[in-house]
Amino acid sequence: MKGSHLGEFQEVVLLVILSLDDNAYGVTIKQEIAEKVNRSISRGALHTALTRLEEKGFITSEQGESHPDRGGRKKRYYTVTNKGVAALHDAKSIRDQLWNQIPRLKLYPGYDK
Amino acid sequence: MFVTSFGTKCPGSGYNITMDDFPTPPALFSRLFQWFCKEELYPELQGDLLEEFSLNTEEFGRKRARQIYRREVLKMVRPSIIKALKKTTVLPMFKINFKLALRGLIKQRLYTLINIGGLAMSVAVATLILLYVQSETSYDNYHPVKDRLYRLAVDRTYPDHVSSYARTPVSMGEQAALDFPDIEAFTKVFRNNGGVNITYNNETFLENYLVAADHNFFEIFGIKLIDGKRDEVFSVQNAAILSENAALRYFGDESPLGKILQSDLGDLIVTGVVENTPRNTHFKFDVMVDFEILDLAYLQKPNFLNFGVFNFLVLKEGVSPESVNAKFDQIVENYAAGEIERRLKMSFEDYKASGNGYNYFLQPIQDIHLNSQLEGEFQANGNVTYIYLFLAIAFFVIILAMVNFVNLATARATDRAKEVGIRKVMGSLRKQLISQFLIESVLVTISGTIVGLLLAYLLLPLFNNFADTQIIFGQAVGPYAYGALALFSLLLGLLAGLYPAFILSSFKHVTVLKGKFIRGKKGQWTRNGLVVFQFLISIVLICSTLIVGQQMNFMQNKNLGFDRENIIVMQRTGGLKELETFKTEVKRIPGVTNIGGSSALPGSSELYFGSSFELAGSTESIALSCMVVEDDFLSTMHMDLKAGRSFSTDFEDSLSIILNESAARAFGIIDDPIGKIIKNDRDVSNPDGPKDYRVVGIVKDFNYKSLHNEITPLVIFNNERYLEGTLNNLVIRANVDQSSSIINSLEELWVEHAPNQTFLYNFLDQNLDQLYQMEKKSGDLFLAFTGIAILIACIGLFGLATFVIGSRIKEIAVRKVLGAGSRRIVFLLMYDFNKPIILALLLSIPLVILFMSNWLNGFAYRVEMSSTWISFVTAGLIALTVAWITVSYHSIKAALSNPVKNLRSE
Repeated sequence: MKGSHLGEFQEVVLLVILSLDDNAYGVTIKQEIAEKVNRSISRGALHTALTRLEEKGFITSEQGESHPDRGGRKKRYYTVTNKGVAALHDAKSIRDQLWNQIPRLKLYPGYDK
Repeated sequence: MFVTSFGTKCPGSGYNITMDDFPTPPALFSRLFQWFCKEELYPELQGDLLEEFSLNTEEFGRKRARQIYRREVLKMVRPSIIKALKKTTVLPMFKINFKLALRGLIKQRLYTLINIGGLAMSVAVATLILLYVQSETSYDNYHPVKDRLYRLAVDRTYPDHVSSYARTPVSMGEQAALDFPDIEAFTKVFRNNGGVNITYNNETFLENYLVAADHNFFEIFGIKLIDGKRDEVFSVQNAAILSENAALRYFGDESPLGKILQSDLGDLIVTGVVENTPRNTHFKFDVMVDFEILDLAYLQKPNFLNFGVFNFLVLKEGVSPESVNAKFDQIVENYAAGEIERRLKMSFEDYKASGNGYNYFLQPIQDIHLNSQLEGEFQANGNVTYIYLFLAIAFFVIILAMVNFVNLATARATDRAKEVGIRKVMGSLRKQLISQFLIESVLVTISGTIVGLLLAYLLLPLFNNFADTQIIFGQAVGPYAYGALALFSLLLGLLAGLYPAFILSSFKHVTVLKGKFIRGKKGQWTRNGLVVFQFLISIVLICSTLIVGQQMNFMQNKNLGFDRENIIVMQRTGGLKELETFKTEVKRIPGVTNIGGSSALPGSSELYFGSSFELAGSTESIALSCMVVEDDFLSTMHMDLKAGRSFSTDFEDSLSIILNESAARAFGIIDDPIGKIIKNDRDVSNPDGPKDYRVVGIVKDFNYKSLHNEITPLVIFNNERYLEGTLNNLVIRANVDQSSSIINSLEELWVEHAPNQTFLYNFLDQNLDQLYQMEKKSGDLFLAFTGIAILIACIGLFGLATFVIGSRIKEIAVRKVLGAGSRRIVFLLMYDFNKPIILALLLSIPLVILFMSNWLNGFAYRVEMSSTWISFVTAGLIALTVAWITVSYHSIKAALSNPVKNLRSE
């Protein structure tokens, strides 16, 4: 069993899938990442991330409808599992904790003035 | 907005498409993707790619979209997407074969050791040779205009011979640069032959590497200025530019700039320090002065006849040197002809008709080190023939190791036949067997290469010492070389493994398993053929080495026409004020028997000067080499007279000359030379006009140049009518056993007579040996490499003997049982190994004759090919002896073993 650690990029992908609601498939995920996160990745790289997430049980996928633009091939929609959501919460809380530990002055120089 | 990861600009995108167009992605890439993508992923991924493509087409246009598509497909190549290597057996089979190969190699330790050891040795040798070749071929490759930089040289045709000079007249380059638009720049360099004394702080050094150069020297040659300003180094006329070494020698830690040095040329001001001349340069200097400081008439006035300086020309881009070569005739006609006519009082046409001529030509600067062996070179150059010879050795040594491998692998066929049979029964395909054997051989070659490289690395310091080179492993072997080596070892493994792989995999399993496998006659032929081939190479190498040795020996012992032993030479004696007193005192030193002064010495061809002569009553003028000697010179050197007398104090000899036999022949007076009058034209030796000389003697031809050159005509003048300072060398015949005390006394005398001059002496025989240093060095290297080649061949033979005798062990046992004696059996076994060696010896004879007569042709005086038979006999005996020793171990062991042991197992 692979570890359940959530990589930074994987976290982005999970969030994007959640934000896309029920329209999360390869092309839209890639577009969203390009637009919102300002990160251009190849479809191949995205595939790797999706496979990892699926292996860890953070997402599931199912086949959707086909479209002539796709040469009649079916889409595959991705949804985040409860485990995935829990992993996101974990990641966030760890981060929040760390943020809280940092003296304000270091994060916002000049805050006390 | 859809952004891709590639910031590439789309050239000429302005391509608008309409919705009617059916944009299609690049078909090739679609097919590629389909081919490598896992089937279960393909519909989803290809669908996404296509959808993206159509979106991109709308947004960026077709061209850009196709571009993105292509990159996207290429980025799909990742482990999670591509199909596993065909589900067949390639990878697991490779693994198992690798394991099997490794096991086999470890089991057969001796065999593996022989193979890897032999290969490692040959790779080491080949690597060292290639490094050497690389260093030899890298000469002068660092100058900024190296591809267009040429040196001017000349083939000077005399009526009876041609001499080629590296030095050319001082005005030649300058005039060419003025007259020919093809020439971009020129510079000239003058090298002082005698050396110059330089003093700083009361410390005097003799600078042998002092050159004088034009101001643009540093623009043309890539030698870096370390200290001083480039445009100011020649700002004063008595400027001196020192090499780092020289600067250190005079000033130590002090800053050299602006310091004043006292020298024979006057006071010099140091204006710059340059790096030490890189080793891969065909010249070297420690001190450079301004060309204009030299007060020699033939260097400062226009001169088109005296070969005095090195002229370097830079051609314009795209100009071929041949086209420029052709134009030099013009300069000779326009400028040199007049000078010749004035001097000789004959028309230039007649001069040419009498067989004289000048053919100027350009030498690419990078070719000089290996391809130029002219007279008056800066230093002894290398020889491209040796480079080819070494490359041939590198090649053959590798072939030898490869042959070893093939030989051993096929010889082991008996051992492996059962294995092959079992594997076939178990369902192994022939293809699989072949791949197993190939993997085995590649494994051996790769490990051999790695060990060999390591060996080369370890041996390099030793090699540098031996070959007098300064190769640094890390600098010379780059990533490119490693790549080439990896590829080489792979190819070598495949090539060497191919034959055994096919032979071994072709066995019929039933026959083999029944135990009826008998080594085919065919395999034996191949093996014997390969042994013959190996020994052929070894014998050719041994034989060539021996002949090189014979020639070296010949040159060292050849009767040069004088007695080279027991001669001490003192140089720079021209500067002595009281030469006669000095000589008288030298003669008093115990052990000194005779002493004589001379302007030139045998072996130093640049010290002879040229002049033109005419036999009285003839109009034909010929140019001959000349030297000036004292009365006692010929007798000190033990040079024999053929006719007449030598110079003597009893005669007034100022207008006497002695000719050598060649000169007498050239004048056509060999039968009755004494008393003939020969006119010497106005020249440097006769500034006041032509003079008539009387021939008083004929000296037997002696080799006054190196043995590479024929003896050419020589005229010997007496010093009586020459100014002081001509006799720059004193030859002293002395008892060499007392040499140390004699040299001490000489030095004391020297310090007394010439307090500020460096005392310079050497022994004539050692001096002459220097002429053949290149041959000696190459000969030594050749010998070392030959030794290794023989060793590799013997390793192979040893391995072969192991298996051949191993397969005859039963036969030997039966023979013993039937009463054959051990001696008889050893003889029988050894006898079989003689045949291929004797055959190899016979085959080697024509090859050696071909190669070596070619090499010997480079010497004017050489051993006759017919007298080299002794080398062939020796080479054959060496090969046989070595082979016998190699084989005897196994033969004796087999012959002495107990037959019962060998017969018991079936």
